Amino acid sequence: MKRVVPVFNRELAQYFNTPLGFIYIDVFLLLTGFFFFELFKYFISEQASMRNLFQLLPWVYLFFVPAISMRLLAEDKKIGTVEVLMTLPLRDWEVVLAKFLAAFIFLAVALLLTLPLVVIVAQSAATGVKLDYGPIVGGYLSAVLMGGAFLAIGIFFSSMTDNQIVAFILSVVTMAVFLLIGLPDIAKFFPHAIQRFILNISLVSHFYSVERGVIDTRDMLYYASVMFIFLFATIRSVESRKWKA
Amino acid sequence: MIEVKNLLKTYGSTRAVDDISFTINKGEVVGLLGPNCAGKTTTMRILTCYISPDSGMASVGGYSVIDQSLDVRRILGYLPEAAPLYQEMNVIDYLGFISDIHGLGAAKKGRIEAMVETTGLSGVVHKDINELSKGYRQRVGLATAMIHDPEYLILDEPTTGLDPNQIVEIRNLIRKIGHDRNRCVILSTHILPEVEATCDRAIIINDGKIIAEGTPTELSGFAHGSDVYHVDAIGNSNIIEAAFKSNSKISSFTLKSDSGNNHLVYDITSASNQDISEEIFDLAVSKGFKLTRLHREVASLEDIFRTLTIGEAGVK
Repeated sequence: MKRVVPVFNRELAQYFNTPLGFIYIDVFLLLTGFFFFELFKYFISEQASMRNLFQLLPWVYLFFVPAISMRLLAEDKKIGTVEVLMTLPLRDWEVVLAKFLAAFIFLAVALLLTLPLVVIVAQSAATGVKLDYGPIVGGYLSAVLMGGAFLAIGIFFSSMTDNQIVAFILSVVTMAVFLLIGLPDIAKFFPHAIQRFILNISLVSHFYSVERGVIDTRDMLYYASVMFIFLFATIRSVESRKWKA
Repeated sequence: MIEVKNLLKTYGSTRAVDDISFTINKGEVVGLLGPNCAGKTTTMRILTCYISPDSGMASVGGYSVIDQSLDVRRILGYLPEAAPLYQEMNVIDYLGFISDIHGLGAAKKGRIEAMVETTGLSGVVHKDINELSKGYRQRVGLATAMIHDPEYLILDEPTTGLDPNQIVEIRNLIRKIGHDRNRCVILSTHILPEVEATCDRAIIINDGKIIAEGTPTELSGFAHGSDVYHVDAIGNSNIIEAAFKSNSKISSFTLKSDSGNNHLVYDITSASNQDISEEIFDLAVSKGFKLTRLHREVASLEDIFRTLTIGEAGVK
């Protein structure tokens, strides 16, 4: 297990040694900031809360996360370094996990950089109004977990191809489906019997409930399961090179 | 010791590796020789645990590549074809990265210095890999393959893309590595002089099958009667040609040029691969013509290779 630490370090360092990481973070902050202030007209709304940010986060993730995850394995396949990694004394799952965790930490850093928005909200709250920190803490916690679930889907598609664009598109499409079925307006088109199920497997429904300040173990479990399932599938997909006929 | 027994790997309907068996002992440098798509890379990928065989077994240093793949990968260094590297890293960081994965610990610094020295990278250690020429990248790949001082070294086409000087350097390096220590080196190539220059033994593969195996000299024995003698003679052409015809060791001859004044140039093909230079000389003395040049061109590995690989295909 110790041998995999360098793989994690290299992945993480790549975001900060190259302009790549800064570009990602810039775009992320620009998008979230723009939507937060402009689209939702934060300044004219009365309430002092972070709801706007959390409401739109899944939609920012929809493009931001695949942009991070598309290269995780596809790039190694393209330039052939996957052959170097997989013939070093590393287990396949260790490599997948190291790459996933590095991207996960990077995503968490990007998310933490939105914290100044909380300060702005707290500052601009009308005197006497106390900002409710419960939903904010809950919101960030589930935002991180939801990010992990998105990343797991993204790394899975990155393992399927050596073309980063293909990985990006497949990830966006899959995530979009998982997001859209969670919207009540769309879920209502499904037969009544499976509506609850559809809502439950959606990526957003679990997010909005946590963000309301309720930390439910079922939601945590949901994100953990999505990560587990897709990471497991990624490991199998990486291993499949051995048997591919 | 590397042992391969009845190895089989199919891709779709083609048998990339078709029932291959061989053994390679310590202290040997062995060349896997074959045209492109012969199954060299597939064999190497199985030995390095990158892919699994459909059936058969392969072991490196007594460890099975299937059941003990981590142990195999610890004692093995591998240079994949075209030496893939992380482009955005600089040389020293990349070597450090690979050393850390091998868990070199305190030995790391010393090993990196030694490898930089051996592969002649000292001028470029702080350069990013994407700024390096093909030759330097190949050396970085070689340095990383050897960074943990592996007992077994597997090199897939180590000299492709290098200029002639670099090729000589890398070949010398491979020879040095293979004989300096009690190590075992397998390299693949489709360039024949490479095998003659670096390997103790060659295994010729075509269509996934081993078609010949042996030392370069042994392999030369496979080519029967294809030695060619270039002869310049002075004398009457009728006498000379009659003399050639009368000798059973000469299978055929052709007149290459006749510049008049009885100056003649012949190519003589021998019936066997034994040296018949003496017979040709004696023939000239006894029949009364003069030799001004006699040069024997031994059938090269190249000829043997062509005979074997094309011959095989031709039979089918």
